[in-house]
Amino acid sequence: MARPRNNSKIQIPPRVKGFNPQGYYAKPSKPINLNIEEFEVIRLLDYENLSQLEASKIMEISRPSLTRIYDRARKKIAQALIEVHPIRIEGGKVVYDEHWYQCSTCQSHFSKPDSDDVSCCALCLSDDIHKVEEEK
Amino acid sequence: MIAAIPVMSNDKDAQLSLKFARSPFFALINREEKTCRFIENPFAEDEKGVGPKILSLLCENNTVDSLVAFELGLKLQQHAKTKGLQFIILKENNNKLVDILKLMRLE
Repeated sequence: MARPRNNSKIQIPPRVKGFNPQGYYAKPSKPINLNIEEFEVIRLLDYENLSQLEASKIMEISRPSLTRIYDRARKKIAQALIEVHPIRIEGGKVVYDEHWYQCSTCQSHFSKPDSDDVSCCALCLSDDIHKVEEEK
Repeated sequence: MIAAIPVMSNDKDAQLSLKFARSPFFALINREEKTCRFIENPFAEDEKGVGPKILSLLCENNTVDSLVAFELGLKLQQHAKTKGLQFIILKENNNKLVDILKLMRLE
């Protein structure tokens, strides 16, 4: 039996939960699900311009695993762009580098460097906050 | 708590900068004392290694303990983590400083 792949380590949660097509042909259609790990690979390789080896060290997965995730991510994005599907960013085998929370009032994400409990938003002080959950 | 916010000019109507380390100015918000002051970024035009220089300017010279931004560069993020800084990632990317001050109930 193949060894289960390690969870990918994510630096910062994605700011949005997805993207919708715009314009005349942008009719409601089945969304493409881009995992958070696929989003992170695109961020590290195409936005931060890291090499695959550097990105795999940061995400704490093997380089071949990262290549497979990257291929999947590019195919999904291409399919969404060409076939005009919305993109949803959710799911995946991920763990966060720090404790992350999201405020439901101001929608900002904030980290908590120590492990103390958080009672309110670091920006607007609202108590309507929730922990960004890891998925395994 | 002192928060650093990257801004395009040194006034409260300033647009927030999209690039943290390359921002021309930083607004330093002291929440306890309810004050806001500005510092210029002397490294904004440097070619390389801006993140660590900015962090020593903000943390060692100005005792900043949280960074407010839309997006943080990876190197700056990794250096900031080793210093135990808090990140606050904003959702909207067309805000002005005054909008953030209102959110922080300082305006």
